Amino acid sequence: MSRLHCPFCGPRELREFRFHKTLPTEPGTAFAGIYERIDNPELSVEHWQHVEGCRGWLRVTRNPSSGAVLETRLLGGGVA
Amino acid sequence: MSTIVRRGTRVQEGQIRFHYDGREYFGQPGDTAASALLAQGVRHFGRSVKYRRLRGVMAAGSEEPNALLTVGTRPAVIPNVPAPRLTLHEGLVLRSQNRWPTLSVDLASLLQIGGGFFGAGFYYKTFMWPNWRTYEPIIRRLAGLGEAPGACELPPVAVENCSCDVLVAGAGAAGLAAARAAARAGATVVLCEREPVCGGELEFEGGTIEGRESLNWVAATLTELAGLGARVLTDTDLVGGSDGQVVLHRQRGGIAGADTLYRVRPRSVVIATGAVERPIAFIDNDRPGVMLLGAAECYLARYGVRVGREAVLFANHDRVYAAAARLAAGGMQVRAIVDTRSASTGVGNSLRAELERTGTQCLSGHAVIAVEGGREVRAVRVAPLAGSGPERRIVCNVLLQSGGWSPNTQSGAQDGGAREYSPGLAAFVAAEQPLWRAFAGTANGRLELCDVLADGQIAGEHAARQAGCATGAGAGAVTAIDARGDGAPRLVAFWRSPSPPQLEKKQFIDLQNDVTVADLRTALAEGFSDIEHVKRYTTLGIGTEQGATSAVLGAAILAELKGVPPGAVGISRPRAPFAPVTMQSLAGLRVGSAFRISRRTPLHAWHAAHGGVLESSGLWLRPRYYLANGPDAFTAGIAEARRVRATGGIVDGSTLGKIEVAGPDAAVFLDSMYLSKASTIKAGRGKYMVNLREDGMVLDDGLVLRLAPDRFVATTSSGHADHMLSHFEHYRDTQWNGRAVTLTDVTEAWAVIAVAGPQSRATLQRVLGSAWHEILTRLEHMGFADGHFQGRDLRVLRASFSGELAFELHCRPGIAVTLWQTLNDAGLGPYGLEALDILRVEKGYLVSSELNGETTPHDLLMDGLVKLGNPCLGRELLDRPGLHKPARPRLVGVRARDGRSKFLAGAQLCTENERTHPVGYVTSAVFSPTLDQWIGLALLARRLGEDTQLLARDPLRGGDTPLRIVPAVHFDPTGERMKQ
Amino acid sequence: MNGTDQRDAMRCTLEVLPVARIVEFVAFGAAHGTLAGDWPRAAGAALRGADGWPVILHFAPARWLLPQPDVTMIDRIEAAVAAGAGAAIEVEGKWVTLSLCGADAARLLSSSLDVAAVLAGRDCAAVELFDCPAVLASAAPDYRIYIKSSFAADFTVAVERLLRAGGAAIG
Repeated sequence: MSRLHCPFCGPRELREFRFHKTLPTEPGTAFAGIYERIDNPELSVEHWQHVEGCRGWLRVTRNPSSGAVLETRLLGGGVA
Repeated sequence: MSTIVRRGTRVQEGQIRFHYDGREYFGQPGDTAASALLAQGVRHFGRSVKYRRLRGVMAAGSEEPNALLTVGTRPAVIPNVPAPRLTLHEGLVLRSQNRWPTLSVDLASLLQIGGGFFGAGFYYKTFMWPNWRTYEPIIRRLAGLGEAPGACELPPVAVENCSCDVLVAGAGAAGLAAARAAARAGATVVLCEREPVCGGELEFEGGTIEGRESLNWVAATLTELAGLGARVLTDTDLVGGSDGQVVLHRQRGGIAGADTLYRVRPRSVVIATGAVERPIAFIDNDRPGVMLLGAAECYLARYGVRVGREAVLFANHDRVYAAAARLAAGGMQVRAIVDTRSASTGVGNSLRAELERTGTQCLSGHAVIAVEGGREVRAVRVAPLAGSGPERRIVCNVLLQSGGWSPNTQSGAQDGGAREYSPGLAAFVAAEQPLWRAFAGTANGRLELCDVLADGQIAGEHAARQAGCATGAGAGAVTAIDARGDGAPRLVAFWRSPSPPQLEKKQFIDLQNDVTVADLRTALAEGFSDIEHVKRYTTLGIGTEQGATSAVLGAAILAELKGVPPGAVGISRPRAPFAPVTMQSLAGLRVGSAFRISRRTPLHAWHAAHGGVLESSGLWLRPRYYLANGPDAFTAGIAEARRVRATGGIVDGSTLGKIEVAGPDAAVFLDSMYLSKASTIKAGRGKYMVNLREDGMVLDDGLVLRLAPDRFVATTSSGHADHMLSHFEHYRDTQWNGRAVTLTDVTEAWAVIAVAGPQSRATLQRVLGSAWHEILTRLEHMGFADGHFQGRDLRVLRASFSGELAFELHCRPGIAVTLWQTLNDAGLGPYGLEALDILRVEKGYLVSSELNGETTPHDLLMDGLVKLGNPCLGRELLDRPGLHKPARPRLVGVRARDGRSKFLAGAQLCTENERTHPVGYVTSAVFSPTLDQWIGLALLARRLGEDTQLLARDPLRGGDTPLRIVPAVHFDPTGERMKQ
Repeated sequence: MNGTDQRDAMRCTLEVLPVARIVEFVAFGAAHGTLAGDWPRAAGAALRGADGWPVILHFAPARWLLPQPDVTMIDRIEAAVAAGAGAAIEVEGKWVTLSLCGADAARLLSSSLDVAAVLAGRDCAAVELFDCPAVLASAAPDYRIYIKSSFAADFTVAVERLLRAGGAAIG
């Protein structure tokens, strides 16, 4: 995976994006979400920012084992 | 000087003068260094890297393992350029490598007579006593391949980023057919070819394609491609790439200068890079004069060069006879053909009979056992492979070998591609590949012209379909008749000639790294049996040709030694770049000042022109001090700080991060982002605020100014500006999604000048004019006012980072220099980062040294803020017990106990009793002109009392300093000076 | 012999355009709907003026760049603000406006990124050019580049290095 599809800018090189965090797989406390998270190697929902482009925040769903990106969605804009 | 004009497909009439190893030589336009030197009888092109054996040219392409030359004169040298790729131009200066003092007389090779020191893994077993460092200087001098350039200006490189539908690598028969098929299907095509001309082996093997003579077909196809908009790049190698990107390197003439690096994103790729002829391992098979058979044909056809007078040919397939006929027709005398296949495999054909008639001895079931001659081939020894029979000695001066062809599958091992052994080909071919990559032609294991062309066409159509283009129902098969008679090779695998065990160390497999059959045996005996381990232990295939000539041979011999079929061993994965690329090409445009971008404030030119010593602070260039105030940072910083407290000064604070937060929900949004409430700030006022991270640690601090009920400016520290903007943006788009709040980075929309010192107000009143007089008198701490200066926006904020009476001027960048100069003219001198730091440490103000992401507001004595604080981001985890334990750090001030000694930031703090267990460390330390001694801030375990006697331990920079604890605010604790 | 010769000097020029006023309009949440008429709504879309150059650039989600807005533009912004659609931020000095014109403008920019791919199907894009944050807009074959001003000096140096003719081969 060396490109991400930014919903605003289109497909761009991976280095334009900055990874922020992986979301917890199940709801829990703030503490658990930061310190006790067990990640799923097949399915990871992450927040990335397109820092070298539109600065939009992306919700990226991907398979960390294979590197395949399943979905990218723009966060914010009043859309859930 | 040669007076005979050679004729070939690449050379023209004319003369080019060049130098090699200090002697003058002549070549023709179109010659390479290899062809021109071979034409003039030069046989020695360097020495090998370990054993320093004399070597000659072996191949005719970039897979050349021996003849790597250094181009140019020191310090502007380019090392390791393969001689067959080096196109001549007038005045070229070339040098052979790995020899001292000369190529003929090399000292290191004399030292090695009889020595077996350099076998596989020698560095683990030798040069140990008394200490390996004894040998290190010698080994460093001898090791390595060529010498790197010294400090010099090398020609600049061009870079191009582009995309296309189909990338075809290789413009031989298969590549041209593939490119044509893809272009006809409507795909945008990029075709790259490493040679200066297209056509591949059609250049000298001839044939008829679609009713045309092969070279005419090549020309017609190129014309058609141009008409269909395809891009053809010659002199361009596919050198690497991954994850859907392919990297091409264009190097005209094979040497640096006018290089172009292409980063291409094709939708699909066709690899038609052909196959590399394979050598056979026999004793002393590395001598100058032992060459690949196809290479000899290239030199003859392209450059008109006969690589030797009397040749012996050694091969395991039928094509050796056609090659012999062509070489004989070109003027070489073929003394013998040694065919490893026994007579019973039906190799008799008319060519063989004709060759025998003209004096060529044709031997079947025989192999070349050894080469005689140290400095060059003088004779070969040939013996039968089965049964008894006499060993013959045949005099010759060149031995041309061909063990078959190894498809160029280098990129087929990347991106999830696989390779498998093909017994019919006795080589590895690309197996399972991702859908977007296909191999075609000889690279795909096809050896006959009609198969090659058909394969190319199919691959091109497949690639076009993968790229989303509709292809017609087959454009019709490509008809090809191979008129030269180079039919099916009927190859029988043959890897190495028999040899007594003690001479296996003279049977070379990888010539560039001096890896022999003995090395493989050693590796196996020492427990390395996986091919990747053997590669690394013996250095097989790690050189510039990445195993092009050696990988298959090495794998097959390893398999034989292990007693398993070659398919069971596999071959090692080659690494990009697949052809030599200069470091400068890979650096691309990021050289010199472009290596690292820097950011400039609007006042940059003024600082540079007035003795400001600029330093990088993150990406920003900021003045550390001004030369007028002292010769170095220490002296000047003290002088500047002293002057600010005495009279006043100005400092450029434009790097301060500024975020404009606007919208009906701006106030409540900021409430949740900061420990204190922003919604209670009145318009026209600012407040010092602290942000927390989710885990309760302090993230940053800054001022929040309220411009209007729904508009704020949040400032952040210079270093954290980008991070804080992202932090706010993240929360706006997640927790605050849908609310009416916007965030805009206005860091560069406002220049900031801080005016500090007892004379600050008076000077400002003079400079800004009567309109501001009253405002400045009445402006309270943390208040601000908007107005104008010379018609441009100006905001004056009363805030202090120095502890003096101070004002921050926020103005538009266009007016910044004028405002600054006016203040300077009015008597306020500039001060830099050094003085800024001194002043703030004296006042106990915090920067990233203290706000380092590992400290909580409690640690930093902000308990008051926390108590009054509101439920904000990070508040929940701030309250967890772990952040309130006695071991947590606490901010303190520190000074030397003797009131004189120096200490530095980073020193570890210990108590007198426990000198080896730090209980904290010094975060900031400066020499204070106000207090005339070194002072600092530190983080110290909370459990220790204020009268604890501390020791600052700084083993790397020298010494221990006894310290005492003082309040963090060293000077003017009640803040009187600021409140005037 | 085939292939483009990269060693020719680039035939294009870089010019700084003095711009007095620049405004960024930022919409609140899902308030896009209230932006009327030909306001560019699609990602990367731009409204062009009579000279073909963009006057409103939609370069980021819910954000538009208005370089040198004239009276009609200012009225539109004020109307949008009054309607509660968003906020208008004065950002004079944040962006330096440059014009890259000439036959080789695209080739010069390709040294940094795949310009054709980035601008495919759009009028403008937020990018990094030679490591400098920028907004790139096209009016083929020329380009307008809005560079964040603290990066402008190094950006100009990078471009001028490419505008000069290539060096000679090593000898």
